[in-house]
Amino acid sequence: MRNVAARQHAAWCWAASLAPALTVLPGAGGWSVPLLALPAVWAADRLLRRAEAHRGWDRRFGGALTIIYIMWAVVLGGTQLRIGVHRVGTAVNLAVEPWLLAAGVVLLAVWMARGTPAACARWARMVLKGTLVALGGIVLLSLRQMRWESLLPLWKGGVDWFGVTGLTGAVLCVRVYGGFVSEDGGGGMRYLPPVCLLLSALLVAIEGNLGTALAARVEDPLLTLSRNVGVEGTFQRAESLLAAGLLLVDLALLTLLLWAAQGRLGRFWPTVGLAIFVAASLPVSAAGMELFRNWILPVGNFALGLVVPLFLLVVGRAKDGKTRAYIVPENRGNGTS
Amino acid sequence: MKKYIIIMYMALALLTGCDGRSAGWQTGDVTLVRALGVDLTGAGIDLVAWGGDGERLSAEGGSVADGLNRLKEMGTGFVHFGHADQILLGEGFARDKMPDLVDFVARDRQIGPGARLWVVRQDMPREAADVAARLERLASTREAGTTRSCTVTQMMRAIAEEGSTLAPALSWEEEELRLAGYAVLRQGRLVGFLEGEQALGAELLCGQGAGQLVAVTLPDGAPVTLSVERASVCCEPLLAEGTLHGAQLRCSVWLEVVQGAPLTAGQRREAVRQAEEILCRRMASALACAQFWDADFVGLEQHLRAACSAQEWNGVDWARGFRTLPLRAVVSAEVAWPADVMEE
Repeated sequence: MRNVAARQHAAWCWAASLAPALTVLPGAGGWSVPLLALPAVWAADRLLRRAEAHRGWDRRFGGALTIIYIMWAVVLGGTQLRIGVHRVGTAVNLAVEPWLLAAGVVLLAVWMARGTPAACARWARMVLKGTLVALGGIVLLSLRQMRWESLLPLWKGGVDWFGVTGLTGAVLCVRVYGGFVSEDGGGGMRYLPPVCLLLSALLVAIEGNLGTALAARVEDPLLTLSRNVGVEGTFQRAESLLAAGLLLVDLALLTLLLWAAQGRLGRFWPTVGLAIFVAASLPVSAAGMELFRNWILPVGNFALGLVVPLFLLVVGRAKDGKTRAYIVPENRGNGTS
Repeated sequence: MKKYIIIMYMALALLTGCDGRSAGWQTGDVTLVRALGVDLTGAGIDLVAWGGDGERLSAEGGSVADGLNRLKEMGTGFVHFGHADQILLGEGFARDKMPDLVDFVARDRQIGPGARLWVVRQDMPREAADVAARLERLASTREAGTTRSCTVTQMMRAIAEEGSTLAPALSWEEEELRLAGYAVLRQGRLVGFLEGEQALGAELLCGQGAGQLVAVTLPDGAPVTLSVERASVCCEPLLAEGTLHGAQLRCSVWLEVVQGAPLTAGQRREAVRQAEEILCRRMASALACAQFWDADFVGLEQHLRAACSAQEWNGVDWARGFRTLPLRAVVSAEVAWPADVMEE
């Protein structure tokens, strides 16, 4: 479909996945969640890829699916942008209104979506590597303050299956949008082990440094952890750096969503950028954001990342290939949009 | 394309944050607060801010936030609290108002929760100068009795878990801040101080205590001084009929001879035996204080919970049972420098 190197496309998808993945992660006590999500994502990817599950059903329903996916792109992008801007506002004193920062990020994403996807993918690869190094650094710096006994017993509280579902859904959903951009079908699995291991290490660090009770009380445990790490004589805390870095991850997600919209909506794609900005700037109560963060995002991601493609796989297998609709068109101009 | 780039650059110009800061910040006329003192007064909260260059500001307010706002209005430069990494608490404040400070720091964008907490016995030394430098010196010194530090995050955690923690205590003597053991804080409220042997025992219970000195006297009357190189603690539940009826804290200590004549093997055994007795007494005295104040600052609950099966832990009421749980301290010491041993 579009000329993006497979390795760079994979990095773009994984950089974009980090934004919803960090949102749906449990605060503490769930270090096993990323490790359990790892085989789930891998198996789902193999299943959907082998069966060409992106294809199925007919044109009418394909059109409806496209509308649903574009609407979810607005919800996902708007929520992540709102969370990212709020995170920056929590870390530093913003001298401007938050919506101005959101507008700046959306404008940047629109500008990037006017270039070439290959350039975005190259940029996203740097963002992914930089973010992984930054998060790894936070884990390493937090080790010396860890209270290891608070990790025991290792299986206290059992497995957070809702967290596993949410994380699996977040990664798979972004991969579907990645499939809109390139024929690679949502990026490879080469970044799956390092990302999952790092997310697991982050949860261990949060548990060991903050404990389950405190992590449940603070708004953003990762940000609180980063406020406690530093190197004597150089920097005492890293929350502003982390908040800025994670805003780049949100930007990677927005560019991916806008490129996906560009493939679906043609010249009307900038309206998705505008809709994302409006969704990120609308006044929403704290309780409403909690609802989005804890329930709507994980469930929606899982539904559109795994349930719908699986459904299409089953239906596509049951019917012959002539009357198919596609989430991802087989060839340019031969899809649902 | 050009118009998008122009719009983007215009948006970035709005994000520079030049308009929201005071003039002092722009010109570099900033007072960087390195240490903050908080205490109670009759009217409310008394705050003292010490800058890195010896500058001192003080203000009173109805709350911590109010006091800090008043401090910001003082002096000639912009007062910035982002570098305040030492917080000094008066005894009265630590007894009653600690959770207020912790809640404030958790939300504040300037004061980091990695700031170290110190509890001053009695009143805040308002007239003290260069407190920031002195506290940094104390924090970096591995003196006996001060190897444990306490940050705001650790205090937040203790409050969230309804647990206990230790914070280094200071006293104001002869115009200088001096180490004075540890303050014991249960659920964020000061319940007492550990001094001398109790403070040293508390360090050992927490698996620390490097640098502690142990003075023993050999049978021939020769004095020998040993230094703790490192210590580790292992907590073992004592079970009877599948229920917890006590706990044993086994402390392994590695010692080094720092003063005295070279020892024979027999003298070394005697020195180790006496050192074990002394260290055991230190631990027992700290444990007695912990149980008296019902403050599990060692984290025994977590250790025992991890060591017991779910069935064994089921009948334990830790909140009520800790005070009366039989605890035993056992020390096994080794002298870590065999080259010092003479042939008999």
